[in-house]
Amino acid sequence: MQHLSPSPSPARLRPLTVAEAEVLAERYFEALTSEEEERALARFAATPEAEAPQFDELRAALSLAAFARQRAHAAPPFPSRTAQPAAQRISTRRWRLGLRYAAAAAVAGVVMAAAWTFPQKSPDCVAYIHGERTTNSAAVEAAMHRSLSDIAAPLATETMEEQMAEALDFPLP
Amino acid sequence: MIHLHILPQRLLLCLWLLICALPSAAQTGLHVEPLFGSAYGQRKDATEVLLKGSRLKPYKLTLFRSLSFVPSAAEAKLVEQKVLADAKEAIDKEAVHRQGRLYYGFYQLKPKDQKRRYLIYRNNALAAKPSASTKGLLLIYIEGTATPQELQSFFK
Repeated sequence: MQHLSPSPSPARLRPLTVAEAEVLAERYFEALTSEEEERALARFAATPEAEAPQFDELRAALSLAAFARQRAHAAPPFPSRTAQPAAQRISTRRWRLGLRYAAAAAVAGVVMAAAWTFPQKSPDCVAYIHGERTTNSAAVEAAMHRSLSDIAAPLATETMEEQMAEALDFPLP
Repeated sequence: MIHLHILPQRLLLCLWLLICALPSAAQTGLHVEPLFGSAYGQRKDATEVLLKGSRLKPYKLTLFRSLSFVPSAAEAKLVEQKVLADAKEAIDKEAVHRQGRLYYGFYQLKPKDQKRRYLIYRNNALAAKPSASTKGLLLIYIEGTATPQELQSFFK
C-alpha cells in the first residue's frame, strides 16, 4: 500500500491521481489515513475526477463528516490518527463501513420487495375478446369453452381433387 | 487486494441478475410462449384467454391459454414453425397436414413439474372450403393432470 509522506511540502500539494485516491479511499474507510491524507482526499473530492462512480461513497462520507463537524462546532477538521485513541478509531471504522453497507442493504431491500410483488400482479382470469379486455370469470370461461369447441370441430375432409393434387404434388387451379 | 468500495456494487449487480431471473423461472420454455400475451391477442379479430387456478380444478387443469386470430400468410407460417419446433419434443402427437402445411395438431409435450402439457393447433385457412367465420388460426396450451382422454371429453 502507498503511504503519503506526513510532512507537508509543495510536492504533497499536487492533486492526487485516481489510483492514489482509490488507495487512500480504501484506507480512509479503514480509518487508517493521516490528517494530511484526509485533506488530500477532501481536495480530490472537489475535482472532476472524483465524479467517477467508485468515489460515490467517499464523497458521501466526506460530506456527511463535514456536516457532522459543522453541527458539532468543536470537533477538529480531521482528527489525526495519532490523536485518536484506538477504541475511537475502531468505532469510526465500523461506523463508516456500517454506513456503506446499510445504504447497499436498503437499496437491495427495496429492489427485492418490488421483485416479490411483481409476480402477484399477473391475473389468473383474463380474456381479450375482439380487442376488449375482460376479467369477468363467466365471460372468460365461456371464451375458453368456445376455443375448445372451435378447435375440436370436425376437420374438413379433402375432396378427391385435393387428394389427387397432393399425391401428385400438382397445384390446384 | 479487496476493493471494499466496489463490493456493494457487485452485490447489487448479483441481486439484479437474480431478480431478473425470477420471472423467467415461470416460463414454459416453449417456442409458442411469446405468442401468448402478444399483440396478436388484442386485435379486433382475435380472442385470447388466460385461465389458471381454482377455476380449472373441475377440469383437472392448472393452466389454460388460447389464442385465435386471422393471420396473414407470413404470420401463419411463423406460428406453424413455432408449433412444429415444440412438437419435435412431444411424447405423443396427432397431426393432419393439408397442402404440405400443418392443418391440425394435438401434441402431448414432456411433463413439467409433474404436470401434463398439451399443445393444440388448428389452421382453418387450410380447410377445403374455409369460410369467413372459420378461417382463423387457433392455438391452445394446457397444463394439468388430465389425461388425453379426459381432455378430449372437455372438447365436447
